[in-house]
Amino acid sequence: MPGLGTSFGRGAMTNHWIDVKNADAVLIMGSNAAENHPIAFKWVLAAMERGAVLLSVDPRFSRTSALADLYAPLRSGTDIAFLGGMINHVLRNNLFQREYVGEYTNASFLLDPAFGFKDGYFTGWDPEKKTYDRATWKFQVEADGTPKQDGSLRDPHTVFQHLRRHFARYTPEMVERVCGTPKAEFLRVAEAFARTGAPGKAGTIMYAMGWTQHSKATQLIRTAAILQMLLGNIGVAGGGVNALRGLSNVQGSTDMALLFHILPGYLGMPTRKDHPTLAAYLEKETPKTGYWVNKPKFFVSLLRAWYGEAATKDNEFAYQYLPKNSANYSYMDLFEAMYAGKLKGFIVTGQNPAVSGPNSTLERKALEKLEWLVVRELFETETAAFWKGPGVDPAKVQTEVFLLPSSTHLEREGSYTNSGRWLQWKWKAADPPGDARSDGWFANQLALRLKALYAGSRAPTDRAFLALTWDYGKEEPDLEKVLAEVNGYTVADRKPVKSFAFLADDGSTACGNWIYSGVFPAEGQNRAKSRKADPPESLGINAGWAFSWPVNRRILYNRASADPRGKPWNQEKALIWWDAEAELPDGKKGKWVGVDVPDFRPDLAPDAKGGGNPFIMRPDGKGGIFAPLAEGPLPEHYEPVESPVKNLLSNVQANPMAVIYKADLDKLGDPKEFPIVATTYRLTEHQHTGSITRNLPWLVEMMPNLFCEMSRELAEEKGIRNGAPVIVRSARGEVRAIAAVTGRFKPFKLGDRVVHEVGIPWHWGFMGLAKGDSANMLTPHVGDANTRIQESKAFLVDVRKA
Amino acid sequence: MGKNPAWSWYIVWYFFVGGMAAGAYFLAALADLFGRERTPAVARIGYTVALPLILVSPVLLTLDLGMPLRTFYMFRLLKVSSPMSVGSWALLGFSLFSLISLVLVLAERRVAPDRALGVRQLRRALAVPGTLLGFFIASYTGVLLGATNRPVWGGNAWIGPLFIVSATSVGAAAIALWPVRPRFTGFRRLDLITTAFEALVLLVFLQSLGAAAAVFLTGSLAPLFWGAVVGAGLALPFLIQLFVRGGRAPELATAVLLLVGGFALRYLVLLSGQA
Amino acid sequence: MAKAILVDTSKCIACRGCQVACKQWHGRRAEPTRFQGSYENPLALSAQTWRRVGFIETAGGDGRLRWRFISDACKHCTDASCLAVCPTGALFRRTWGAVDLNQDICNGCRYCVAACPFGIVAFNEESGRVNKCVLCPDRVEAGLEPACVTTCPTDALTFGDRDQLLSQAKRRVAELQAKGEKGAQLYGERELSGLHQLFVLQERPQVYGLPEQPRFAVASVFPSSVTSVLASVVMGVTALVAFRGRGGKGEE
Ligand SMILES: Nc1nc2c(c(=O)[nH]1)N[C@H]1C(S)=C(S)[C@@H](COP(=O)(O)OP(=O)(O)OC[C@H]3O[C@@H](n4cnc5c(=O)[nH]c(N)nc54)[C@H](O)[C@@H]3O)O[C@H]1N2
Ligand SMILES: Nc1nc2c(c(=O)[nH]1)N[C@H]1C(S)=C(S)[C@@H](COP(=O)(O)OP(=O)(O)OC[C@H]3O[C@@H](n4cnc5c(=O)[nH]c(N)nc54)[C@H](O)[C@@H]3O)O[C@H]1N2
Ligand code: SF4
Ligand code: SF4
Ligand code: SF4
Ligand code: SF4
Ligand code: SF4
Ligand SMILES: [Mo]
Repeated sequence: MPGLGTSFGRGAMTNHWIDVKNADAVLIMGSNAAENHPIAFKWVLAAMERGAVLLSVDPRFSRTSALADLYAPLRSGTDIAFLGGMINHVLRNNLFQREYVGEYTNASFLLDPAFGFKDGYFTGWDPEKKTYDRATWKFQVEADGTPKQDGSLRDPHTVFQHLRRHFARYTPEMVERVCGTPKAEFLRVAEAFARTGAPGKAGTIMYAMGWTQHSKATQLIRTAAILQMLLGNIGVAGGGVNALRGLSNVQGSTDMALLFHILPGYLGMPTRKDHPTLAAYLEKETPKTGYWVNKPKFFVSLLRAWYGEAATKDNEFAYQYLPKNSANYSYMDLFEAMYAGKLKGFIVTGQNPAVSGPNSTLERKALEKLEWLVVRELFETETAAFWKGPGVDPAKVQTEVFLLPSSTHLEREGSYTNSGRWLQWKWKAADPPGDARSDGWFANQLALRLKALYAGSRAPTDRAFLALTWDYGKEEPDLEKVLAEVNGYTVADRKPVKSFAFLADDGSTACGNWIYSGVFPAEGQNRAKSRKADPPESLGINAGWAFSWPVNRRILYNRASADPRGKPWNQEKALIWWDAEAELPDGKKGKWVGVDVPDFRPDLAPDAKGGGNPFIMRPDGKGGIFAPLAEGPLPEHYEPVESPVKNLLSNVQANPMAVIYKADLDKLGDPKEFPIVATTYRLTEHQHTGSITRNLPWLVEMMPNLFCEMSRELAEEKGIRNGAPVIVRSARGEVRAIAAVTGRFKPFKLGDRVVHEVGIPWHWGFMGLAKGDSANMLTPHVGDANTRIQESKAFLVDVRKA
Repeated sequence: MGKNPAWSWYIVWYFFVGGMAAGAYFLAALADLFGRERTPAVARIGYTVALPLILVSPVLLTLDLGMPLRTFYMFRLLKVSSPMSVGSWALLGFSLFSLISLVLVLAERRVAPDRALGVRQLRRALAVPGTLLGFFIASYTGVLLGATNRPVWGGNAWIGPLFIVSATSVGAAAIALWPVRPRFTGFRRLDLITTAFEALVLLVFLQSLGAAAAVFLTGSLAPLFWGAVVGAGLALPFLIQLFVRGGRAPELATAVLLLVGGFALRYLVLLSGQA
Repeated sequence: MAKAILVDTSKCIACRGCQVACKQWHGRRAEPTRFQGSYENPLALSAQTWRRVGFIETAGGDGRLRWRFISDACKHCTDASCLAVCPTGALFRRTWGAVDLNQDICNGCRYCVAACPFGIVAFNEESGRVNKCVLCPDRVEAGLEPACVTTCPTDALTFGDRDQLLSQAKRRVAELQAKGEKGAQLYGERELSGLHQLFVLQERPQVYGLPEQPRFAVASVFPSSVTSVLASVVMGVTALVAFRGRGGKGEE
């Protein structure tokens, strides 16, 4: 989540689920938490019972909106305009938390005088190369290299004044014309949330896919981060920008680098071009200030964990064994490459891309180009059965498909890392049926058998694999052994390290993932298994329940929960504070104490140098209101790549850095032919591609068919009756659905234009008990500028009676 | 609003047959008790008709329940709050009385004349509770329907009376259809009064339904209501008995019309609550 | 001690966990359904579905759209029509308030089906008997909460002593009223002499399909009996008139 990473230093949910109950205002926008996080939603209700207001902003009235005190609709893909409007509201009415902004963020930093923004572009846009030269996106610096500041925030070059000017265009009237949110409703939401700008008040923002699946998603989340910094809502109990991770272990899989561009613990993946040697990598990737100065320790320890004895000082700790990135291997790029015939084989575990991938027509076609496909599954999914899907002639498909039965999460033990970064161990509830094996077993077998296959080989390409340490058991891997390695140990005695503070860059320590260090602090002590809960009336830190990375901190940047002098903004929700009298082991006095583990150097006094820099993972320790991303250092509204209207804020229609794929099946729709905005989303009753849920009769009973939600006004215009079949068509394909005509969708009045939006859940496919068309037959291969996540929340369609 | 119990044709027939049996029996019993010369024939016929009819009833009820043995669960207990429970026991009692009454009718003829009087007296004695049971059987189904939460039926206190009056007319019709000579002409008066009274109760019933009465008056059931219940069951018999004097043909016609009307009434009442 | 479930509709997120949990615990099957234009499904309680979540789109007094949810099942009425009319004793009362059903004794007469003012009891074509929510006596008497309550993630369903739940519900209604929810009200305190499934509603009961004044079905037995007796008397007299009158002598 680079949107949070660039702003705060870490790309993770800042707070945790239970902490939501401490909020005074909860803004759920870009998420439908009641439907998609129903269990955790109880913490939202707990906050409400303590007097919090719940605000829901969504293109349609959802089950979350039903519970909200205030609901405001907005056209899909216009959240930056809405949040920008809120920022403007906060700035114009002086509702921001002055001291917090001045002390804890880079608002007071002076920007390069050449930096500016004009006509939709920041300085440095190169229209030829279609990219930015970021030369001016920087601060003026003092002689010692630290940024110049103006504590009064009045200097026109301060980040603060740039911010003010930049968002001055985002007036309530503009919000109404861009988002379609009636001005009064926008203002009600803005006012209610801005109240948390008072010191001691906390507001949380909860978002998920409604924000991330856009061509400017990262900037969208930055907008929220900026708003929250202005209101002093980061680092405090009940605050935060909280990314609601999707599956129960998505956080864990990101932490463990289930992404192509990172290694475990968010260490950047080396590339062939930039990092030919370990020295080059460390030199280039290690910042001079901030906590990341320790990166070499984490990186070398990782190499030591993976390559063991084969990693020595003399061979760059086997750095050359590490694969280097030479291209973009993100999801859509992979499928584009597959479609272009560049991939031979594909192993799919725990995914059903034939339904979940955007532009599924293209992605299903791509599977036909493979030589072989391995699918590890519980059911025969659309991916495993792509060769018998609609419109496919099995005789013509040459791909050899292996379908291997997998156990379910209930049939094995292991640890989960939840949205709030808690590692929780879970135990096996039942044995898997028949030949079903766990994914761990599969990985273990694959490694062991490949090692056996390569044994004795002298080929240089096999050497890296042979050098891998791999000793987790013969059949099911011993997962605690894996966790112990992830935690890290001193090589000499194989004793676990207590935390990453004990890691070294000289090869004396090994560690599979530095951020998880501390989960296994001593032999046989698995903190993911600890289960001591706090009493219900407490803040819900629950330090004795599970282990939270890093070092069991529950609320990130919690230094900011206290004022610059070290006193909590709100005594009742105090997390940590400076105790000048507390004694340190070395006899010196003064340290940070409290209910949470300080996200700060424990002995760094508030008045010491850097004592007021809460964002320790950022080079300057300040929250990044100004923080460069691909398409600029401040967020700006652009229309979705497919949009029925002209961008009113500038002449730049869509994010100039958006990634648009260009294979023959990657078509974009003309708004004249496809005038209706569409979005896709989930239902409580189904999970994703429905592989499991469309095979469970009780769930099928509740949600049997694909449907398309639309306003009464649109239905009337098109002569569509509630419950009648309709065809929804985009430039990529069409689906058959049942019309759900409802007051929960309303036409958007944008100035004198009316724009309609429809919504389609995306859980259906051609296999399972309840079959139906997949919504992803409509969505485009268009990606966010920074993450390349697909733009499946705002695209264009047309709807007609079937 | 309760769900539709889906009481079927078996129940319509049971309501009809049970009402007819009850009517026939209490008419017979009243004739037995208070009648003049000709009425002993009425009593005999009434008892004779009642028994087979009432024996058909449990068969119909069992068919509706689906599993024969489970009918006996009705007799696990007697629950005064449940018209069906009390009704079941009453049905059992009524069947018993019908049986004994008929046995005594037959016995009266077989035994020596000096003992015939004793037999008759015994039968008359039994006719007192028998009559009460007859009235009960005729009306409890109406009370039962009232004790539901279905449209038309729920809370309505006039279905019982309606069924009783109707039971009288269909009971009389059943007796009148019996081929016997000389005939009993008192039925003319009986029919005139009952049809008139039935019309009155029907009016009160419809009145009590308020807007819900529309199902009968104007809804899809209206043709049957106006044609069969009002036309065939009330107006025509009344007019025939009023204007056409004597002769077997009008008598038979009246009886048939009354049966049609009685059946239609029960059918409509049952259907209206389950529409 | 009377127990009850409190359904706080203001906390319900319509996740339908309760609907499924009930099916799972009681081994109920899925019914064939089709999407009909609303999230609701199945469309009514049945022998296979003892608890069901209703989705109601409605405009409040202020014209603002509302989406109300209600998790609905048997109310376990004190004046339980179903129980009162059941001729076999299949329906019976647990000491702590539940209206339970003994399948072995039920003969399938369906009287309870017609009697329940809330349309709860449903006939099961397969077994020839009826089914409904039984308030999970197998769990409750083993010290557990009903399956649906255990599942509810938001505490929209709570189980406990009825008295306590009543005061909890009243507090909640007051809270909602204070927040400006004028429609907030308690349902089930006095209705039918007290329900063992109480509701905190945000609108008038009718909006949720609940009768404003549910009727105890057998309340009509007495008046019906009186009218029937009167009619019997009239018919008796009529018969006397007929039998003792002139025509009584025989053919004229
Ligand atoms: N029951 C269930 N729960 C799930 C899942 C599931 O499949 N089923 N999936 C899990 C996973 S992996 C994830 S990632 C999460 C996702 O959780 P969510 O992000 O909550 O999921 P969605 O339903 O895709 O989208 C949320 C909302 O975004 C709204 N929306 C669409 N476009 C826009 C927009 O432009 N702006 C704003 N503000 N809102 C918009 C939609 O109307 C929808 O209500 O859910 C997790 N939980
Ligand atoms: N249009 C549109 N498309 C979307 C989204 C959207 O909002 N709109 N959301 C996106 C998001 S956020 C996500 S996370 C993806 C999800 O997309 P996918 O991950 O492709 O979807 P799932 O259906 O969760 O696929 C998981 C598969 O793993 C199987 N499985 C379950 N347990 C195990 C196990 O233990 N081992 C193995 N080997 N298999 C197992 C299941 O049967 C299932 O088939 O979809 C994305 N696609
Ligand atoms: S699916 Fe699992 S992880 Fe998601 S809300 Fe339900 S219980 Fe929690
Ligand atoms: S709600 Fe209906 S089924 Fe439940 S106890 Fe009351 S009357 Fe009986
Ligand atoms: S159907 Fe069963 S439970 Fe219902 S009233 Fe009849 S016997 Fe009782
Ligand atoms: S109380 Fe038990 S039987 Fe009743 S709805 Fe809940 S789970 Fe089902
Ligand atoms: S489980 Fe609770 S929140 Fe979910 S639908 Fe049922 S009552 Fe509502
Ligand atoms: Mo996800």
